[in-house]
Amino acid sequence: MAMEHLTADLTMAQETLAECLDDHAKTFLALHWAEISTTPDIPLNPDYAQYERLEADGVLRCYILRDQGVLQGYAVFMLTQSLKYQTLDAMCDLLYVAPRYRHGLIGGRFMGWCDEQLAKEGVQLVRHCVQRTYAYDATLLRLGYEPVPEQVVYLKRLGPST
Amino acid sequence: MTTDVATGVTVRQETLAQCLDDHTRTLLLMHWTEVAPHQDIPLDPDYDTYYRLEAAGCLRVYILREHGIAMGYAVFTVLPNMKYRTSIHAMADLLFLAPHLRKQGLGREFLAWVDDQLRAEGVQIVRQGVERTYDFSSLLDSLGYELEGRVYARRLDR
Repeated sequence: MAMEHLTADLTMAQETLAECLDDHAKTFLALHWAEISTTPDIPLNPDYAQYERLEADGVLRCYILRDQGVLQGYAVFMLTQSLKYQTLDAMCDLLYVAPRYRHGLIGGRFMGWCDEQLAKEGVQLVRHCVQRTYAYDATLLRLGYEPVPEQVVYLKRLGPST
Repeated sequence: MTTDVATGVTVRQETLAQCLDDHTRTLLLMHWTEVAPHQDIPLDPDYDTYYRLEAAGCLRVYILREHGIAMGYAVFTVLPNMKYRTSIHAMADLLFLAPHLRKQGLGREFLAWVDDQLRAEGVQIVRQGVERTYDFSSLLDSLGYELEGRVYARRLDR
């Protein structure tokens, strides 16, 4: 699978869940959730079996940023044929870069590389949902995303905390 | 079960077989013409996948009819969330109300009723996407929704 050096130590690669999903990555997920969750009273409880099924079905793409081999960021996408347009679209499901790498355009270059991988697969439209708790709009605009959000997402709690 | 929301206007949950006909396909085309942010990508619904989602129990279709004729719809996917397995989330896929029925409180009544149906099923969180081409955020605000995020899109084929 595709792999490229961002610097001498930093690499970007597409990986399988078997390659990247270990205790270290799960710790990153917990850190990620603690930083950006908009519903912190709902406990993080990933359905890994469903992620594996999506990978087996060819829907999941995991792009991993590593420093000297240690995972420091990830971008996970779902590739689906649009129900309305039957075009191949990608929706970012997870995006995280460890705080110490959020400088010097590392995050932007990683995301730009992810877009290149998706374009090679024939993806026509890629979407990112920027949470109010973790705004990276400026990075998306530098990468050529539409300057005005395509959509804003509203949320309503219908049920009590679990 | 059919609920009256105004004189001659009813709402109810329907199956695709009940509601998907030439008339609703025309409404979909009107809807697309009004709100699609990428007008150069032709509308080409994958009805087979909608039927598969319905068969899997993941689709909810709520129809508003005026004198028996479909004039609005709210379609949701309803799934346990992949990150929060204990929580069932609903995501709006399609929402439309014919222009002549807007600005009369019907949209608000329809959406409030839809939220009640989803709540009765155990849905904990419902999400609505507001396109830049059709802003109904003030209606959502009045129903207790809050802004969660912004969706940015990039065309990779240009």
